[in-house]
Amino acid sequence: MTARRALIMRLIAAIPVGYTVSALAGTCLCLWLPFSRADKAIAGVLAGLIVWPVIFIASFGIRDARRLVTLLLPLGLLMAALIIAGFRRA
Amino acid sequence: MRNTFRASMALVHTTLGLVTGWVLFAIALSGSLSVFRQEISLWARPELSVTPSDPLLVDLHALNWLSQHAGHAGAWYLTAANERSPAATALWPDAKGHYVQRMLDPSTGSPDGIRDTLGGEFFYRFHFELQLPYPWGRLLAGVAALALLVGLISGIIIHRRILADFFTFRLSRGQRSWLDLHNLLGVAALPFHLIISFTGAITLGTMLLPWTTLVLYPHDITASYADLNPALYSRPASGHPGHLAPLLPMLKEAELHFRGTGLEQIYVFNPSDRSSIVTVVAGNAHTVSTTSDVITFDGPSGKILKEHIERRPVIRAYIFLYGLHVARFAPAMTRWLYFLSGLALATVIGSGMHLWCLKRLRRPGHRGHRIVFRLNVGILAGTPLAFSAFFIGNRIFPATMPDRAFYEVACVFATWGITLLYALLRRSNHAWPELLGADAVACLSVALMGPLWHGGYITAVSMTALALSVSFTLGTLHTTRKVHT
Amino acid sequence: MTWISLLFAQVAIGFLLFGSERGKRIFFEGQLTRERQNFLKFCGTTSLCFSLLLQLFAVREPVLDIIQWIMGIAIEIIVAALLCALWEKEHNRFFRAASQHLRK
Repeated sequence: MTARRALIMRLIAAIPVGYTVSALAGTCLCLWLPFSRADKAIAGVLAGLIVWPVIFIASFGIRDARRLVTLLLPLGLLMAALIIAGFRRA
Repeated sequence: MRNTFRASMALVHTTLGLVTGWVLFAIALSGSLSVFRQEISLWARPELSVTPSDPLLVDLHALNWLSQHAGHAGAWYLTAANERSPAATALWPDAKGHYVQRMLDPSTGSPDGIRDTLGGEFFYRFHFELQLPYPWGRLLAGVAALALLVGLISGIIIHRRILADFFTFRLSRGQRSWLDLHNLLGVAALPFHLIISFTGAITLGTMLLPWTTLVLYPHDITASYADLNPALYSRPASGHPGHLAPLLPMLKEAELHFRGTGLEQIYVFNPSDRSSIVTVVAGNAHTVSTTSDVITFDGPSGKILKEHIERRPVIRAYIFLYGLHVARFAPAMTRWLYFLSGLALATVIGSGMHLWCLKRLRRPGHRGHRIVFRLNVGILAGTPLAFSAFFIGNRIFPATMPDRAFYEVACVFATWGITLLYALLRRSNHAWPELLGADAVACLSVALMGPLWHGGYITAVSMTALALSVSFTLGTLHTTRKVHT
Repeated sequence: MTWISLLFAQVAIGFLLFGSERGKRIFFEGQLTRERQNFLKFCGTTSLCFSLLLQLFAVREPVLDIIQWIMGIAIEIIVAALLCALWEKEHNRFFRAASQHLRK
């Protein structure tokens, strides 16, 4: 893999994918927490704001850019599954 | 492994810094100024008599004036007087429906004779809205806050010798000195920088990540605001005329319920209607959190309709973090520390941008680099100049000029534009001393226009301007020496 | 921040500065044993903790006191580093002048 392609992959992982995963993480949390509705909404926002910087750093910190796919894809799918389950439950 | 990790973190640090540095510099500088928002607002209105009196009476005078002069407005939004700000500020729609915002005289409640200016509000709004239309300014500021957070973390990772170089600041070594300054200020005030960037992102969090709200309130987004603050209540006008019950007992009762936090906001909806309501929001004295305790009274009877004291755990954590950022709680000492730490953050960002330029100055000839160098001078030296133009405009424009507040703001952006253009056209080693010199002169004139010897808030603002002027003078002398050697 | 904890913090920063690599080079011309350096660092850390304790005993609101303390320390570190830089500059100038004088 060329350096340029790796860089593009990292950028995609850090910005659009990172944002999506943090939005999913927040949504997932707000569907499963046992608090009041307003509490859950804010908890989701706070969680998302922590997750995005972590994924951002990780996208550039992980040595092999290809491992990002094997890391972020299952994470995103897991959260999507949890969100669907959360909606079913509600 | 270690080296490639560091190298890629260095790439993140440099690129993010370059992309967001200028916006962050302006945000950090205006944020530092908005720590003293109330004081700047008072400085901007020297005609206001600031003999301290009971804040409740001041609010009452303001509400009485509004009931006589804006009785048929749909709503009055009053920012209550408190220990720091001896006058109340009101926002209300006039007969044509345009919103008017004015500070009201503490003893008469009238805005007459007090100049029309935004005062400290300008810097406060600019800090998170960047004078851009809603929601773009806020989104940009939110993304910038997250970028600052990532920049700080990657900065810690690439700074190899944090402990060994802890006190290292070597003078007159060119690029090395700039790196020392960048590291010293960055590391010493690191807890502040981390907290302020993260809590800054939190204040705009619901804009950056609206998804949780959309999921939990799928049918009605306004329900989320009502849920966040259950006692903020509104009802439509009945169409039958009515009278407000005496307001002082309501304010006194609210103050009693809030247990010493004081009052922050007073809203009156449909004041001349039978279904009028009065909402009182708790203040911030003695609590770090921005308190969201609210009481709503029925206007005609003066009885409590709804009361909300915040006890929900996550919301409490949220308003605590929010409160850490806006520092409304802060006594004078903490406020100065916030101000100085904010200036330190602006210096870290500025020195980082300058370092980027210095490293690339060694390899001359790149057109893009040259443009960035020059714009960098324009932003770093031009932002303080533009901000001082606001203060100068406040004193120069006649007090009765129509649309005065607008022209003050226009003054800032005109100065900014001219400075950027000047920096773009002038060679950067000449532009530095010239623009820094202009900063020094501008700050000095702010200090003298105060006037410096007036006393109280005005002298405090002037002394700060004077201190800044001295440091800009030192910068001018330093950069002039460089031009001649 | 109370003046007494401010004072102790500044003393602590002083100890830490003398015990640091930078302080060793400037104030002791590199002649400082590892043990003495550690002892200075220990003194510094102790008085830093003591300063925090003093600040916490002056309590109005613990969170507020800790915030003030952290920001106060930052400014003291910056002041210490600045003084150190000025000291180094003067020191170097003095030695350069002295060595030139001796050469004559």
